[in-house]
Amino acid sequence: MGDAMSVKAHPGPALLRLEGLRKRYPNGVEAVKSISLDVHPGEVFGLVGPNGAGKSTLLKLIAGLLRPEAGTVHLDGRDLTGNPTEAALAIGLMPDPLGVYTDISCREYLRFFAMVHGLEGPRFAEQLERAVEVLGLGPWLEAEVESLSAGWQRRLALGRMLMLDAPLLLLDEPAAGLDVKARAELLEIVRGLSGMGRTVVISSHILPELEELADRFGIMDQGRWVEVSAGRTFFDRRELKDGLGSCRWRVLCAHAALAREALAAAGASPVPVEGGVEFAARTDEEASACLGAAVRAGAAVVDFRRMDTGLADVVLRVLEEGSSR
Amino acid sequence: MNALFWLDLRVRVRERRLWVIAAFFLAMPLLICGLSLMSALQGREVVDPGDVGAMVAMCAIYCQAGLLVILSPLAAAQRISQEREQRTYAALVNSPLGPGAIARGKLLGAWTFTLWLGLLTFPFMAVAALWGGLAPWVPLVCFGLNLLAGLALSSLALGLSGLFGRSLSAYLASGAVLFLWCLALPMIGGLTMGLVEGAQNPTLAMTRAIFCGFFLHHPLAPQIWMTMRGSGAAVTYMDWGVWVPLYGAGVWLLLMWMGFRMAVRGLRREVY
Repeated sequence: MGDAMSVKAHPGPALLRLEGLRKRYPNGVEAVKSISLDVHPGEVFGLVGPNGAGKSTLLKLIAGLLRPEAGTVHLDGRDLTGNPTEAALAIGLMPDPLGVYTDISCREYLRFFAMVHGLEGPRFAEQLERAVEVLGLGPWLEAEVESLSAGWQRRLALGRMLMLDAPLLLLDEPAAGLDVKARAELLEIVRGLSGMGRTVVISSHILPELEELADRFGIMDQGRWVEVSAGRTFFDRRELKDGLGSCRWRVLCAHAALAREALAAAGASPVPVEGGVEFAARTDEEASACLGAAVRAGAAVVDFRRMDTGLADVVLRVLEEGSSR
Repeated sequence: MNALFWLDLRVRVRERRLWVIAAFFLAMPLLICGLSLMSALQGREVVDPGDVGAMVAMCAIYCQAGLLVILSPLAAAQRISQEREQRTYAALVNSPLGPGAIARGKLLGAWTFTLWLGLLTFPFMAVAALWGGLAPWVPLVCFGLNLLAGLALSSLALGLSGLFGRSLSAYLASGAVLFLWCLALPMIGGLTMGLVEGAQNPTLAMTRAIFCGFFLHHPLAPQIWMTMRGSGAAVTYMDWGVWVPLYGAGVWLLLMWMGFRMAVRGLRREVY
């Protein structure tokens, strides 16, 4: 794969343009190796990859917290390379792990960051009101930050970014450590922010949610792009589907052990799931033959369905391809 | 208003230990002044109020100075490292505040704590000085010098805090610097002076060099000179007039600048 993949999903000039970004840590590890990317206004760009792929380093390079060895970061045409002060005015960063000042109230927390950004007086009150309304922070405004759950602390951090009107939001693992409900709520808020015209670059390991949220995806491994998707057509790419065995099939049955044995004998690699098994097949005929084998073995099949290709499947496949190259 | 200073005030006012420290800060001079007053009055038929006033005022001045010397660096030692520890550092550096403004806010927060503690004991010094025995300007100047020494120590501790990712390391480093400056250097100076005096009759220049190198920049030295001059006592070795406190204060200002630069440099570091 080329290092400088830049696929325009949205018309018009890019809001964020990365060109040849490179970062080597003092211990010699080259965490980011010539990364280029265009992200367009209003777009949600999902950054995925295994641990140590360089996702967080890339976000820190964009936010100016790290100085690149080479390359540039342009936001709306302005060069922000290695300039945290300039970058801070236009970029909201939610780092991972997220740290918040805990000894103050939520209102004080938001006021502090408003002061830092020179937002005071009636404009602060107006922005605060808007952030509180969007995030539902009202009941917690006077509570100490320490007393909030992890999910609400993340909402508060989002509130800081929302209040400050940063056009670009960088979210590093925003849903890490959250329960299913808090995760869904947080991602709903991010979707809302995108709807309000904010551009979001989001790094996450929780791929099903990211799949729903992002307009495009970039898969990183060892500091490089392995793949940058050209929109949601990503999931329909023929070679990916072929690589994944067209898709996965799920057999729900009364006797899962019998089905597993029959499928293994038919040459599939069945994986146990609750109430049955899953297997991959390259063609519909192959899947049909496997089903026949399970029925003949007396597995008492009650349901048989094709599973959609998910982001997790795609990422695993792309990473596998990348490492075999 | 500096946003970090504002935040610091909000956080400190809520801390219970702050009030414990304040109570301790008041109790110590009260105890020491009380004891010195009792010892001054014990077994004497005629008491000169000037003697008592001078003794109590000096006790209060040194008590304030000693407490400020210890507490000022402690108040500043974790200010930057704590941001790293509680993971707020990235959000702080990813703000339009430059490293200079962040360091200023942190230093101001630490020094306000010093100022507040200093103000608590100032009435002791002032009231005792009114009894006579010590020129009235002495407590005022000593108060200012104590605050300046506190500021220099806070700044050094803040600079060291910028070098470390853990508050404990920052505290230990500040403690080491405090030990070096306040105890080790005078001890080394005393030994050097003893060696020089034993081997030869030291010249005035040599004596002054030793004093400048080891003693006169000590956080208490200008105050000692000031109270000796204010009470009319003979000032041996340190008879260079106003240059003694000026030299001490000059070295403090230099250290303060160095500490501040260190803090700014520490804040410019990349956030891994």
